[in-house]
Amino acid sequence: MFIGAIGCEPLQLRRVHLENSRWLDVYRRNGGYEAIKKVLDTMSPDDVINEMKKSALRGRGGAGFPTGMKWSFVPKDSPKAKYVVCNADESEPGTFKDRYLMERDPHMLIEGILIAAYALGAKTNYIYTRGEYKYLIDIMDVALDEARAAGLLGNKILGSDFSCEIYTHTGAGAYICGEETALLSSLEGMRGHPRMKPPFPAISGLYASPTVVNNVETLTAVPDIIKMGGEAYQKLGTEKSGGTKLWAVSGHVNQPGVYELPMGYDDMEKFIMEDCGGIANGKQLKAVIPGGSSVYIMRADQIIGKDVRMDYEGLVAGGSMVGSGGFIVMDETVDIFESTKNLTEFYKHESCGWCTPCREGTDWLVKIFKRIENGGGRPEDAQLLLDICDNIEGKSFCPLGDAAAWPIQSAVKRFPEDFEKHLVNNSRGESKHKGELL
Amino acid sequence: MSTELVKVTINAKDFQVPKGARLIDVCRENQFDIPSFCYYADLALQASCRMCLVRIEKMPKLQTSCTIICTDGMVVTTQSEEIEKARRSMLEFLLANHPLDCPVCDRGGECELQELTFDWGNLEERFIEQKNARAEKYLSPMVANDPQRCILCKRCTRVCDEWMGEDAIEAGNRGANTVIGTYGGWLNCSQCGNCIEVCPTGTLLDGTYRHQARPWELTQTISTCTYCSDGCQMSLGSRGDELMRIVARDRYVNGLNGEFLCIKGRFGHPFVNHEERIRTPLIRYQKGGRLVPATWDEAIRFTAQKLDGIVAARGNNSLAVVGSPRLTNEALYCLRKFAAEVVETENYAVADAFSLKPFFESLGGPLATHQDIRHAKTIVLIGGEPEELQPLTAKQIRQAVRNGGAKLILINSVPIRLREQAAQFIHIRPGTENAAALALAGNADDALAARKMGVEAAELEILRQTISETQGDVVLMFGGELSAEAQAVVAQMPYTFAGEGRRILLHPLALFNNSVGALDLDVNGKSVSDLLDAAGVSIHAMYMAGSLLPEHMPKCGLSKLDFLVVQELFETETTAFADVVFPAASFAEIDGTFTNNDGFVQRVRKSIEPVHQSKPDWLIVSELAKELGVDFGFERSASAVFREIAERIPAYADLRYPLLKDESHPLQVKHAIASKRELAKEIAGIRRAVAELSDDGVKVSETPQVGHELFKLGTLTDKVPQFHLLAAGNPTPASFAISPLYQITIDEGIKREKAVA
Amino acid sequence: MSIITEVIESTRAIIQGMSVTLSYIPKRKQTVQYPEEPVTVQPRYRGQHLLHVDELGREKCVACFLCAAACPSECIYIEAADDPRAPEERTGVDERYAKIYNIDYGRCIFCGYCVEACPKDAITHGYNFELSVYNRADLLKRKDDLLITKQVQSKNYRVAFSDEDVDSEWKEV
Repeated sequence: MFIGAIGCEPLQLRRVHLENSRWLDVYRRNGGYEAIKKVLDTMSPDDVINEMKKSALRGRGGAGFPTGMKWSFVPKDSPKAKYVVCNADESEPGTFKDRYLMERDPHMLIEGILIAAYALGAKTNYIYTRGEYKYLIDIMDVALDEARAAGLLGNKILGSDFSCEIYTHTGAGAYICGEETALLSSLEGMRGHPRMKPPFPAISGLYASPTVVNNVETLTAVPDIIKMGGEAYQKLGTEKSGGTKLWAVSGHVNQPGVYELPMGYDDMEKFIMEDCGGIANGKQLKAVIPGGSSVYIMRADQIIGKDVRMDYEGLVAGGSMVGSGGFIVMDETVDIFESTKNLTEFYKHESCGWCTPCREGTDWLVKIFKRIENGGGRPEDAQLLLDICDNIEGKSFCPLGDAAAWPIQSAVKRFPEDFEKHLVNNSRGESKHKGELL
Repeated sequence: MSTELVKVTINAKDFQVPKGARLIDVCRENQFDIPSFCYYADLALQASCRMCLVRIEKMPKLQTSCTIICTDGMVVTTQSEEIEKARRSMLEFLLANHPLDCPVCDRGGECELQELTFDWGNLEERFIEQKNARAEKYLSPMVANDPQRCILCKRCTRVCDEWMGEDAIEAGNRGANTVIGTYGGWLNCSQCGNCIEVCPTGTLLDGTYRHQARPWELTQTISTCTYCSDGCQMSLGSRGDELMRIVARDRYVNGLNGEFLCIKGRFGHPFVNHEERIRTPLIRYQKGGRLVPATWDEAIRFTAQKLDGIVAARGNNSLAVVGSPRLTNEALYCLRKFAAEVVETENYAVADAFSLKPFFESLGGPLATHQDIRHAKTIVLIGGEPEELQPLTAKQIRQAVRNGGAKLILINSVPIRLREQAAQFIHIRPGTENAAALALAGNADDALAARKMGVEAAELEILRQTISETQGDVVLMFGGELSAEAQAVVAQMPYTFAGEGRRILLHPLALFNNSVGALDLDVNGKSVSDLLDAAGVSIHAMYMAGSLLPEHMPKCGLSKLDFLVVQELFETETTAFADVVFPAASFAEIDGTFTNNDGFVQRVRKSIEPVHQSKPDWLIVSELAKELGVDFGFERSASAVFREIAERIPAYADLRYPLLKDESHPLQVKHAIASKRELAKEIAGIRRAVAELSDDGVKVSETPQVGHELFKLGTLTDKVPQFHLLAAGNPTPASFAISPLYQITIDEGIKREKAVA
Repeated sequence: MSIITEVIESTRAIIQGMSVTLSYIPKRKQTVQYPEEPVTVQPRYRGQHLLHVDELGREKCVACFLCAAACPSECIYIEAADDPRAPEERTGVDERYAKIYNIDYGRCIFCGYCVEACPKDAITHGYNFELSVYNRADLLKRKDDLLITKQVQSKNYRVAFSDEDVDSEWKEV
């Protein structure tokens, strides 16, 4: 398992290999809590936000919304309390980068939250993790206690006038709680249902107060941005998305792991074949899901020889999305029908049941997949699957519906041969259908 | 909502709509059909059914029109291929796991899912998989539940939370496994059944009318509830001569109560066709004998002879006429006319629990309607318990607090459930409600009042301050605990707290459906207790319409009477003393009017023919009057009676049945507004009475159980078997699959045709 | 006209007429000696209604009232009821069943709309056609008269194309 940076100096992963990297003194010895000191000593909240804007940091949770912009939406003059919530509900299949950051460098996250809280004027902040990350909460709690004891948290931080507090909170294990409004509902103690947008959380979020919800990786990038300056950070990446990005590589590669790449790393083929050590057991590459399960699946021939650039624009041009950076590589032995079924079952299980298309649609999709798997496939099922996905996409209450539809749409369109195997030929291998599937 | 207009283009037509209007409402008002399940104007937005999708220019996806507020220059398309496909697909999703068992579903025929399926359903079902089966069950004696039919619009859970404040039902589980239910599986709520009413499918159903009729064979008659003084409008569904069910009226009609009804209104109707209804006139030919069935002619003649004899022997005033606050205005008017013009007795009274006469005599401002309560800014409630006794008022209070940000000030000796909504709860000692009136009148007696009530004097100061700082409507409500003097003081409050930008409205919490009407039609306001005390002394015969209240029974002098005539639905404790019993027709069988505690005169309409040989109360009195030689001249027309009421009673002037036709816009009785007057005498009286109270009464600290008044068995609710279960504490049955009524027999006396051996 | 011509003419007319008559004598007879012989009815004949039961003998009717709603002559009267017993003990296939199911044959026009409307295939037209009664009130048939398990089938009909059909006029086709 590889954890490290390729193509740039390690930034986020700078300290993860150090012994006892999660302890405060190790963190401080290696440049920790300098950023917050700089902020408290020399910068105003607006300076911080400007620096964030200059850095061109885009949210690492999946949607890729510019973080500086998000922070600037929080009304300055609101009489209500403001909140910074760290979204550590990392539930996207194939994504495990936040886990390493929190496990090995919890203080970096605390520092990031402190800077965000200073920039936004928040007094109370939350780290919301998924229920399965209970051990991470224990690590975070220890780190928070350390920071509190060192005067880095609580009243009058580092002797300044700035005071704030961070609390940890676990969900009960629901993928939907990674959606920011559902996370806020859950944090308030209600069912983890997404809420209507607008109002956006920046205006009316936690307890109907202005709230910024950011991913762990986004917040851990903040101290470095402050230290090196927004422009320098942006220069690491591309003009539109600055800095480095963590990719959680899993699947049939020789060397899976968490890779820190600069935004705009130039070739996905090189990344898979060289940096990740190539496909395991000498097999051929078949498919890649580059950004966690909720993005379009890519065929090998969309990658090989195509110079797919690994940033937001490059991946869209290449036919997929950055998403949360869960990079899943599949070799030729994988049946894309089976893998898509697996993902669909995940979305059915995690659909919260609020809106019709997602609740009933994912249930229906799973039933179709099961029927096909049991030999009951009909040639028209491919079209039916696409049509159901089409009816879910863009009509659901929150993006979970879209996320459930995209993998199926791309799988059916890009790997028709895998579906054909199940739909056109019955169990005796006789063809039931002549001609094109779609 | 501001009066500023914005331009919205819908399907290439321009409309000027008020700023802040909701797109779905605008579209519907302008005849663009937008289907929806979860949108309900009176409830929080849900946007989960996704049926109301429309295309709005410059927005990336299809948008739910229920969540969109109209902005200037908005360009909306409600009809296109894309939208049609989206709506059809949403309906396809909804029907995927729906059992499609319309033939057995009680909602079939009035089901919103059915209706929208006709409009937006596909010709073929593409869903060929196994449906997720869920068993039918009961949630309570009143509520039947078929979870498989549910489309999860969550109207029920929102109604339960926002209207009733009970949160008794909620969604459980997740995703496709979501079910609407309750913790432990058994509903221990006030059983209002509003979740049933708002359910667009057959998921929540009336457990008392299960599988008995289909909606299209029922004749729907709009009428007024016969229980409490809120006067909810309801729709009686009858088949032939049987009253099958009661539902509220359609929510798109802006009526008094919308789709709200309480348990009594919705489920308390089986007494109408109950087998114990008195079938024929009954005569007890000699004291101590049995009541023997007789013909109408004989009973009327017998009564007339007897009354004639007693009046001739003992004088006119030896006969007393007693009405009931449950009767229609028409019946009460005929009784009063009978007393005044036929037997010419001074002894006429209405057997109400308490009299609001002093209040109406000093009435200093208009009565608050339920709409006023909903939009009030401050609500002061002295005594009373509207959640149990006037459920609609309680709902309006809750919504005023929750949706309108109103401040509720509660002055009560019992920590009633409404205190959860209260901005200020003044917890007083039992019996010291009058001191609250004293405190409202001014700060002179704060020390005394606070001492007797057992509260801080500062609380009273805050109370007065809140009222006098309110901009908007202040509603003052009070229950039956106030004395006559205190009522007069409260009635004059509109003068006490008059101020710029403030309206003081009054709302007496009368107990019965026509308490207010009975008072309007009363002559001299004698109390029924006085008449009962005089029984056997100066009063020797009594003519009674309806029975006495239980609180009047203990010192009842009925046994001392020479002759007692009672008009009743059922044999009661009162009819046990009667010499003649006339079978009266219930509210479902007559035409008439009730006056509610808003002062609204609302129609009661005939849904079925009078059962057996019963007759409307007013007709019985008229026939007796005719036998005694006075022809009222009403023939058989209730509207003729009402016309005479309108001619004779100033408050009812100019009202006619045709004017009362539109139940969405009820007409208020014009109660005379008394001018501002000196209250020193009353205040002194209250002060004296309050000073006599003890200083160390024990406060009630326990919140009463839900339904402690609602589920109480009265003459009418006693006839509903399910009420017996509720009154017995709504025990959780062994199985939820079968109606608890079939499983548990509380009382041998509960007979039900359909009870299966 | 002479009398001879008249005799010849009339004789010819008689022969002409009788030839038609006599030509039918050797042909197959259409007249059925009802009630000694059964009448042949077509499979889609609309006779007295039958209420069907399922394989466990439970009534298929769920009292949905659609037949009553569809009936143009309003001859169907139903009262539904709730049967809370276990599925196998029930009267009908569902919790809801028809406590009363009456058809007034004084009004019924045998249009078959009720059969069309039935979502449960619980009602069909049978072949019983002998509905005459001495008392008008007897035209009202109750559930017990209509249930397939209880209705006595007349011996006086045969159904075309069925096993006992011996002389269906369309058989040779």
